[in-house]
Amino acid sequence: MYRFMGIFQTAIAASSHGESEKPGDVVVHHLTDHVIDWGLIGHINDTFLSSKLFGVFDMRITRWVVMMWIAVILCLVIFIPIAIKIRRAATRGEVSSSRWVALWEVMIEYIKQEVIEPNFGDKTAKVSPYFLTVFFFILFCNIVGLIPGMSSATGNLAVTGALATLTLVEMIAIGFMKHGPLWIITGIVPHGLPKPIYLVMWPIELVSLFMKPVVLMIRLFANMLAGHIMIIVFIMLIIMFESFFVAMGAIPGVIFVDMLELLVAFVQAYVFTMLSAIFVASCMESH
Amino acid sequence: MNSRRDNREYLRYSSVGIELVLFVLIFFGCGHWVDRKFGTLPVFSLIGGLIGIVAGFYVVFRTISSSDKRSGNSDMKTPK
Repeated sequence: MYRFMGIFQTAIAASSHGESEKPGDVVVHHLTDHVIDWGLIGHINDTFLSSKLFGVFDMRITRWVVMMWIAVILCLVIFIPIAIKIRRAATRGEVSSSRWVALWEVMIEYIKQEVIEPNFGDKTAKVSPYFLTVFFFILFCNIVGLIPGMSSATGNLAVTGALATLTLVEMIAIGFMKHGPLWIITGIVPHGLPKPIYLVMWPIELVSLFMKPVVLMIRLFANMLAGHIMIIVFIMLIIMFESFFVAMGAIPGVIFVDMLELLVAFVQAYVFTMLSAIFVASCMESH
Repeated sequence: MNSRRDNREYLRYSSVGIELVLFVLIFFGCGHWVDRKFGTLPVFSLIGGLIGIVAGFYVVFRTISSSDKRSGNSDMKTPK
């Protein structure tokens, strides 16, 4: 309900600014990032971060950066005490009976058994910290966006791009570590090909290698953005038609999409982690 | 274990569609860039697009056949 109020308020504010702001502007306002210009962060932005880093990078703190911080803090606040609790219980030789611990343990075990173990086998213990971190970070980013007044950082191409870049770096690093530095030239193309075909295949395989993280990036971004667009457009319908009767259809629609978003938040975090694991594991196998 | 492996395979297929489109777009884009640079429109755009389609379908075929091989079905000839 607060979410509706927030969007209504923005719409009313937009309409009072004059006729130049159209419903499209309000929709875009909710889907794009904004530099924070109030409070302590606004002060920091104005004083310390006003000049661009290397003349290119705008380092000012935006709304989505804050949302990512919230996701990070949630990760730290939830998992560090849990780890301490489990370790304490383990040193006493018993299993922690706390329900809170069990709740998160179920999710961790699920990701470990369904995503990491089938891909990495006996290396599971080594790689699971990274994949579990990615999963919970994306999950918290997605869920934070469902709380009224907040937004999900994963609905931004730059954030998903950075996450996908991590996967790419990991793919290349694991390829180098497993098969040596020549892997990028010989390892990515199937063995036993004649030279002319090899010369044609190599660029395709190289592009394919880079394409995988791009697909990851687009998928997460598009899925998160689509849900938000749906919700906002449903609400904007009421404002555009200026009729309460439209609300009878639009509000159940919004609630339905909101519920769907809750599911999508989990599914997309799972899919991103799963595909990252598949791609990284495929670089471990030799062609 | 088998059903888990199946799930993995389905997810692998899910990215094939976007990959196919991206391949065509990227190669077409490269061709178009060359065209604009040398003023030869539409020669390289078409060649790029064609290469993109072929490369895209090759990657789709490879994804399908490699997972087919992994699941133990050797009916299909694989390029690897």
